[in-house]
Amino acid sequence: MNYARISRLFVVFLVALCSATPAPLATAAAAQAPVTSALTLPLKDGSVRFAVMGDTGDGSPEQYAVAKQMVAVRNGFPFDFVIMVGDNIIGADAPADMRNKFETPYKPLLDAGVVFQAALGNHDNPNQRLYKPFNMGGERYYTFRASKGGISKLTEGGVRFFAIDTDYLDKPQLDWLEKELSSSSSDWKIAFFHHPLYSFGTHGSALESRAVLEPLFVKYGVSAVFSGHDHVYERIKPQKGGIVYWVSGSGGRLRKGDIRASDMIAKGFDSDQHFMIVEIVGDDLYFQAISRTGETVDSGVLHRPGAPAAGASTAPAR
Amino acid sequence: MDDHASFARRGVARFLIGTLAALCLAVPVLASPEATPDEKHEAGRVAKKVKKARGTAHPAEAEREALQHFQAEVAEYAEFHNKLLAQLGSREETVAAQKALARAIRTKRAKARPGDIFRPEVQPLFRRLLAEQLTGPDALDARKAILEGNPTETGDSIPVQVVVRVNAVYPPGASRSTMPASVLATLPPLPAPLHYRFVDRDLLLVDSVAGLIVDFLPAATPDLTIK
Repeated sequence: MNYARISRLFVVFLVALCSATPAPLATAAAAQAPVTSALTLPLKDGSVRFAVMGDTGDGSPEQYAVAKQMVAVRNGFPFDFVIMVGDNIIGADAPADMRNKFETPYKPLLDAGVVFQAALGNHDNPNQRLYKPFNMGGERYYTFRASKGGISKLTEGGVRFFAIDTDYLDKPQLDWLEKELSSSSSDWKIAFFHHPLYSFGTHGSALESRAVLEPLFVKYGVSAVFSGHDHVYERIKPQKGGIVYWVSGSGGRLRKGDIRASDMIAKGFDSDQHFMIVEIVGDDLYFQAISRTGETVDSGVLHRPGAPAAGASTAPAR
Repeated sequence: MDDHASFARRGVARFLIGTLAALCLAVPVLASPEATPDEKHEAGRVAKKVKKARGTAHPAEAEREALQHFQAEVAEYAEFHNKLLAQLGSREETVAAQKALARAIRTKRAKARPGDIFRPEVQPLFRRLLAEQLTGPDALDARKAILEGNPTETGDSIPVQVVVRVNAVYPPGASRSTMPASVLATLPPLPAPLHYRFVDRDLLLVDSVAGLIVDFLPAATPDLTIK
């Protein structure tokens, strides 16, 4: 075989190999991954355990299937509360709708004492702040603490959560947020709301909201942010202040194949519905995204930005 | 000679394999659309716009008087709302109490007409403020936000029609237009029960507790179409 022939073969091989190389998005790989419901979270004593779900409330069979999966997962990972990132009740919200779109699918969780903490989306009637099972205390925006065993008093230690109404970011709300963030002594500050500050789905990043919220998050040490609105799963690479942003917006609704490629995405999943489970142990936040069928679509650990060094942030848990 | 040729071939092979490995590692990155610079550029422009909006909301001299009237009207409405709520005797906010409140407000404001609060004198101010925030390339995100939740935009939901009329109920099942931060920063602030909302291009004053349309300004925004 002469040199020229080797070179020609090399070029052909190179072209074939590179054209077959997948895009950096994890969506394709995730969609083909084997079905597994193996839990990757450490289940340590004293940890804070919760689930995340968004854009759930349409009463569809898919919403019910995700709810069923959540119940199954809770047998192995007993989370104490669920944060809801908006569009919790889509469309009508008469008592029968509340039963069909919330109380019935999550009945086993409600019966087991799991507490739901809601943030409002653009499809939610703002008066759902009065709906007791959403635990909003009658407010559009509010804060709570969680520690071992679930929701705790604001005066106690633990992880501090901030539920924000991104549908109406007026001055009183922004003033409230700054006051609460600045006075919080919690190491972990977690924000959740509907419109994602970073997303590569149909709706995309809410840039006006980012302009007013991100500076506060960076200034006051928010570490993790959960949103919905785009009906997909996305984990964004750490942004300003080391903050990791998640989009968890397919707890019932789904936009298949919706994620645009971007090198800002650490992981994307848009081929099925999903929910998330999260465990906070000391300075580490372990996360796992699980599909409607029980497939683990993403997992890893976020070491709290600003905390004493440990492993690299967002490294795979296993 | 043969040894030298063999050595040279091995060298070439090593070079080719090394190049191949480096290229294949680089290709996924090179092949992906570089969203980051665009995203950062756009985010930077929007952040500047929002910062400017939050820093400048001063009406012109001629508009101040009209604005004072508007602020007096909304303050009066808030007082009226709170008074009715107290009369209903509900210590706790409940859905039933809100429905009773809505009924009471509709009865008391039966003669209310469009423009009672958005008086003709203040309308140019609102249109100017909205045009400033919703026109031009930097306003794309704000227009997108308004359109996404606008009940006239169906998106992937079943549309619920909102009848824009004074004292009409804003249907609980209808979506709500997201109010962009820059728009909320520049429009005159409202007392607690009142919120601004958009339906199509109309700017609504909504009693967010009673769920009623209190007043509206037709065609308040410039064209919101995203081309």
